[in-house]
Amino acid sequence: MSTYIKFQGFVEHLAHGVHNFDTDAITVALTNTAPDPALSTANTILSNITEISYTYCGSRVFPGNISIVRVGYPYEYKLGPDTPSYTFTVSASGGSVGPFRYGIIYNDTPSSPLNPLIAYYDYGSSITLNDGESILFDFDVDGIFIIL
Amino acid sequence: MATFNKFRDFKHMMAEKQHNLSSDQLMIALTNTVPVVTNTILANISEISYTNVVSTPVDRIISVVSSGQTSGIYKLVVSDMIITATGGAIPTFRYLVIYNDTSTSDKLIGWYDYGTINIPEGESIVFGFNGSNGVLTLT
Repeated sequence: MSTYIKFQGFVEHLAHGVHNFDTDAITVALTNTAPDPALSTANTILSNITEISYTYCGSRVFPGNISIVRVGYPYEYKLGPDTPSYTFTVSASGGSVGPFRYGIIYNDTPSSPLNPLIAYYDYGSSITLNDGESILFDFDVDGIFIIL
Repeated sequence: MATFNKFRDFKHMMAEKQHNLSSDQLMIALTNTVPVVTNTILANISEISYTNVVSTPVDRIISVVSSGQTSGIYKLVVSDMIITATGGAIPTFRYLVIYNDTSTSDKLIGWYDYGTINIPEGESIVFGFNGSNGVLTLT
């Protein structure tokens, strides 16, 4: 079980109309360098992440849109991928991908700020996907995050 | 201290880019009918007549003091609102509703229950929004 860590600037972006989770392209970035969750709001953008090479990496865009589903006692909204079982797979094809330790969720659609960061997952140790291997992002019950 | 209640749809609409709490024009509405959490737009609120209402800031427009996050906690901090009865009494009201006047159809954000309020001609009331904790927070 990996650990979910929110970028602190995300909540400000959310309140300032940066994200449209119904239509924007939510994407995964991979890095082997520990992200700083306390980046200033203005710096909570993809250019501050040291990404790995994606030469042999398959699609990193969440298929379909993000669903916004009301759950629990009546003010909670869960956001997660639309795909069945709330899962999302990244695969290596033609060569290896990595090493990486952190999977970062960001929004690839906004231009100002450009590609704002949302959260990341720490897998605890570095991972390399060999040719033909995949890694599964499984959001099942909890989605990416919940707005209370 | 009155409790702030969020409309359910506000959180949904915030996740769909319908609110910019930093730059949009936020306003208050007054009503004597209890709001419902499933209300979504200003037309769902039975407003009182504002004929005798004079406010500071003017026109019931909320003055945003700050809209930002610290250590991952977002706060919307606004200045107090003074409502004065001018030219006659203000109709009885109990609830103060905050809505986004810039958003399509004036989407609702939340409301306070202050108990029954009557303001005779020449009298005022100050709504002291929480300056330290803000009107609302996101974590």
